[in-house]
Amino acid sequence: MERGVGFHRYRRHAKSSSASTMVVLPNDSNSNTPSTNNDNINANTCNGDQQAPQPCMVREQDQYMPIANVIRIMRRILPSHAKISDDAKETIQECVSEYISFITGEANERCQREQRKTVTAEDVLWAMGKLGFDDYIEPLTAYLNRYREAENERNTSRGDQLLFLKRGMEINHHGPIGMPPPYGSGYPMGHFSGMLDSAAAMGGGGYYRDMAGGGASSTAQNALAGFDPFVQFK
Amino acid sequence: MRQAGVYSRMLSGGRTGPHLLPLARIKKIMKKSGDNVKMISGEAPIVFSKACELFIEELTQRSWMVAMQGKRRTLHKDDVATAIVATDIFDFLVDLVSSGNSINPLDFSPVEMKTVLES
Repeated sequence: MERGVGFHRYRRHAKSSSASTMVVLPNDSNSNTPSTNNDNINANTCNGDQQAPQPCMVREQDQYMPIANVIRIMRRILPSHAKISDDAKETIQECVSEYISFITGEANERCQREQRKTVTAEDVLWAMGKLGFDDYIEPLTAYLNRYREAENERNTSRGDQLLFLKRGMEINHHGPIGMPPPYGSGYPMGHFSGMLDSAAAMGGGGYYRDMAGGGASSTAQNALAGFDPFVQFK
Repeated sequence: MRQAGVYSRMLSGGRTGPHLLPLARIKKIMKKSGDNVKMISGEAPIVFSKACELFIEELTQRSWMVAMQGKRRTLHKDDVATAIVATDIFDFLVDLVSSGNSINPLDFSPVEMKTVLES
């Protein structure tokens, strides 16, 4: 099946990659059965000699987004009765990779002009604007800001959790010094066993922040139900 | 794993959901886009994960409109190719989809292609 220039371009990339997985395409490109061209399944059915040139068509999967994910996004747009041919799925898969390369190339050129080494999110957004994807910038900026807020809250409450644990451990060693602040079991914490390991590894906890307002407790979503390190003081 | 759990919970709370596209794969493709791509900030793949969603959605929508014009219920590669040719910002994809089978953009003026899509 002819795939044009794009396929060859990716083959050239593929030769230089060290860990690539080969997936064999079925020759029938008109079937509507969902493709399962994932990395870890559908092992190379052109069996035997991996070094010898294969007569069947292969497609490097690690150059593309996983096809199942691509199809899932497509189905959000298409009506439920719509069908997608295999070659349409693969074409869109290739287009996504080309899109990433295209935008990254422009963003990277800007970094080089400004003599910066790291391609940032801002560079990516700038490149999108320059290359005509203005409509994406607003939703992407909102998305990025939500992500940054979530990261800040996560880092903040983790810092408090580490300090909280450190204080708890100190109290255990030296006996009760005074009444601990009323954190109680409502205090939101992540998976506790994991916390201890990282707290021990990191030594000193994070910075201290006044919890009185309960600002952080409203943000972390998973409270550790029933956990109360001060149970011995009850 | 714990951090991933907290993180995706956060994003679900913000109604953005966990990432649909794998960040490591995005980063790999970014690095391959040129020999001189040195370092990539942690946030750049995250922006791309959302951008690729928007891109797939737009390309799918346009391709589907072409299929509907042909009164078909199956999306084919030719529909994608037609949509790409008819959309200015998808010019960078024209070579990717050009083969003997799809519409030759030289056969149509840009205005005609636009009309095909919008009529």
